[in-house]
Amino acid sequence: MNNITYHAPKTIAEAVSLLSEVQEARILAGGTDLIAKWKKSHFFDMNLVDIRNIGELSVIEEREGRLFIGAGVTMDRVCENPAINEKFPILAEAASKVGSVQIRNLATIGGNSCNAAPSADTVLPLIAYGADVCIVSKSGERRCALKDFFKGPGKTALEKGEMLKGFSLPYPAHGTVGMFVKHSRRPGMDLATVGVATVVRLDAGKIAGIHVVLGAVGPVPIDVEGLDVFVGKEMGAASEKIAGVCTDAAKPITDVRGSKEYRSEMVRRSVALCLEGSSK
Amino acid sequence: MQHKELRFKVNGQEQQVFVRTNWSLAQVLRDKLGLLGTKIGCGEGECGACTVLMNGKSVTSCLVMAVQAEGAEIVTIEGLANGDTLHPVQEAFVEAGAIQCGYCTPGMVLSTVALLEKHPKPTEEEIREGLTGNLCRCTGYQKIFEAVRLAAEKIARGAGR
Ligand SMILES: Cc1cc2nc3c(=O)[nH]c(=O)nc-3n(C[C@H](O)[C@H](O)[C@H](O)COP(=O)(O)OP(=O)(O)OC[C@H]3O[C@@H](n4cnc5c(N)ncnc54)[C@H](O)[C@@H]3O)c2cc1C
Ligand code: FES
Ligand code: FES
Repeated sequence: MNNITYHAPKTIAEAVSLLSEVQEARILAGGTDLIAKWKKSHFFDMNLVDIRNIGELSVIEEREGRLFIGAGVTMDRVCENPAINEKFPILAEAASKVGSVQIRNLATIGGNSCNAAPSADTVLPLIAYGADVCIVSKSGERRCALKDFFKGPGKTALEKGEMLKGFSLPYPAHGTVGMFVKHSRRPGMDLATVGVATVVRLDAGKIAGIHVVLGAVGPVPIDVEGLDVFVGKEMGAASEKIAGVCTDAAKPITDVRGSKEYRSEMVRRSVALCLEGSSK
Repeated sequence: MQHKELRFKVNGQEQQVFVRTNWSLAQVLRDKLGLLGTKIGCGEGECGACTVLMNGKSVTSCLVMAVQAEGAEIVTIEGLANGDTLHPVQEAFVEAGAIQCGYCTPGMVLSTVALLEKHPKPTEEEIREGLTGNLCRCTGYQKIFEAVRLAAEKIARGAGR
């Protein structure tokens, strides 16, 4: 009981070889989920692989015409990065709503996804912008769409020996507008009761592309399907119907943060609010 | 039980201590180094009583494992004053009456130091945002916000040290 082994690799290669060798190795990034959980769950034994010293994981740079954000980038850096603010503004906005200053200085963007909480703030804009995850293990690298990464609360597509290396985001086409709503009980230091990210492209008032992602209203973040039928329609006329489709796609439950009926209604209103905001 | 030797800098001084791998940074600062100004409230990142500066950034030291501080520079509340001269933020908290029981104060002060470094002339919004991670159960936040504004003025005037 209460035993921790600790490794602090300096490179991804070292880290993945530890992940394949050490029994039940657990990755430690910012620790804001893991250490809090460890303390709440009677200090279970852990074999930690601390990835904070791995420089390759904390880069934000252009790669192959897309933006790569390393899994180890902390939220405060996501908030401040010029490329993210310019091209992916609602990702910076979502990161700025995670916890508090102190939490954002520790918490990583990779940890937010890997922890796989349905309420994770940065996951929504990442999916809405069409991010892929880059996954690395001793046997090489693979990629998948972030929307397919979540398998249930706390469950991801990561297999034993694998770790998240980062996110690869396609640059949005000209005229794309993102909107983000985090609906929580109080403005600071609370998890989302409902989260909504929309990424919309309008062409002369008509919808040319639309993506809506919902958080905290299902076991995993919901990438709303079936919105392609609205392409070519006037936003003004379609927005109510789109909000309806999104409300139907949500699978909210009742918990301390809100009832399922309340959450449903908040999805409808938040989506409508986002769509209205995108056409301004 | 695993141990590790930890080398880091605390308030400008090199430290070399033997720590258990399951200790938090807050625990080591308090129990190994006797720096009791760092408080432990919730132990889960919510209250900010354990706030310290780690490599220049404010963090909740209850969520940092001590072994992760290897090579880091830590500033605790004990590291702010210069001899008997208080740091302007400390002075401002005293003068504005922003302290009652004092349990939240070290964390509040360190968060304020971090805030003013980033926003020397903070707006009301920035003050509230900067202190979201620090809870106070007795003073009431108005006096604390007043202290932050006063501290900003003091620093701008070059008062204090
Ligand atoms: C007080 C408080 C407030 C919070 N508020 C919010 C909030 O408002 N919104 C929000 O979304 N979250 C919030 N959180 C949760 C948390 O801060 C975020 O989810 C954070 O992004 C987690 O990142 P981390 O680096 O701290 O992860 P860690 O705790 O280090 O890791 C989390 C999990 O992911 C795994 N992991 C981490 N990195 C990798 C990787 N690269 N590859 C594979 N697995 C990995 C770990 O093994 C662990 O299981 C809050 C937490 C606290 C304590
Ligand atoms: S004791 Fe660390 S945040 Fe409460
Ligand atoms: S002065 Fe008592 S908690 Fe703030």
